[in-house]
Amino acid sequence: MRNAYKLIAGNSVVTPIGIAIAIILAMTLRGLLGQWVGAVYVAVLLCTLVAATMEPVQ
Amino acid sequence: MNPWVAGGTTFIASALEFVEAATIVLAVGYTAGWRVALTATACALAVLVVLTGLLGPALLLYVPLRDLQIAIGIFLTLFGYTWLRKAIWRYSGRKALRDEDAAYAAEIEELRRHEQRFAFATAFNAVLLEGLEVAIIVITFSVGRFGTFVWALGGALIAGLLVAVSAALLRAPFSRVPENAMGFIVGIMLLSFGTFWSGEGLGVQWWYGETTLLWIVLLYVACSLLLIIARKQTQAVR
Repeated sequence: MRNAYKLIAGNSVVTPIGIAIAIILAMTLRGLLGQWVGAVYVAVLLCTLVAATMEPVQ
Repeated sequence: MNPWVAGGTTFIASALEFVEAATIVLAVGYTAGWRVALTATACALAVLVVLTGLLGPALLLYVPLRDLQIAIGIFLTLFGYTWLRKAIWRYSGRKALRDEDAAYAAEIEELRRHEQRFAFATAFNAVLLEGLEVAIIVITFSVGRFGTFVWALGGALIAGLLVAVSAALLRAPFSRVPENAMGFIVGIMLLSFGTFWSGEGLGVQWWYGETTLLWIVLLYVACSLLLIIARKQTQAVR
């Protein structure tokens, strides 16, 4: 299980959390923001990338 | 999706994975004998063919396309983050560049301390694990599009063949492959496709349809380059 997690997510804590936040935001704001929800979705994933590179080196 | 993009991305990703597997198979071949190394490789490939043969069609037949888009998009995004942040760490000097010569020497040192069974397990695990990554990428790139599957599989097979032939001819680890640059490109592509597909599955209406993918790629490239520059400057100050 641990090896599978390392293979897929590289033992990152930040990336699954970031993806979960992006999905929740996209689902809840879809009706409210219309096409702008795509921008929010990409922005959250970009922030996740920045945060992921700040994690300790694996 | 453009078939060249699918074929090209799986080609680069597969080449990188096969180079890592080939380094270990070569080390096993030189220390424990070629019979063990090649038998282990053949067994791992057989397991891979059975696994992907069962998994691929089952996914396409039993899971709705929209759910599959979300699941695969998330999978690709996670995979992309792993590849890309490793490349960013290496470019910015936080992590050492992968040295195939050093990996090869370490593998030989380890193998000399163990017996034949360990050598078989080492080669088997290496080929199975790296091959599994390739299989995941090929399957995820092909969902719902048979034409893309042919290109994605073709890219992986050509990469595997090239690495196998080069390994047989060189009989030495591939120390001159620009692994980090290739990892950077693959990371960007996986992350971009993952973002695009998972968004599509979640009902996001992309502004420019499929062309939005290009903008997502450019955004990730720009963000990664900025991160590398920023990290390098931080390292220099320290």
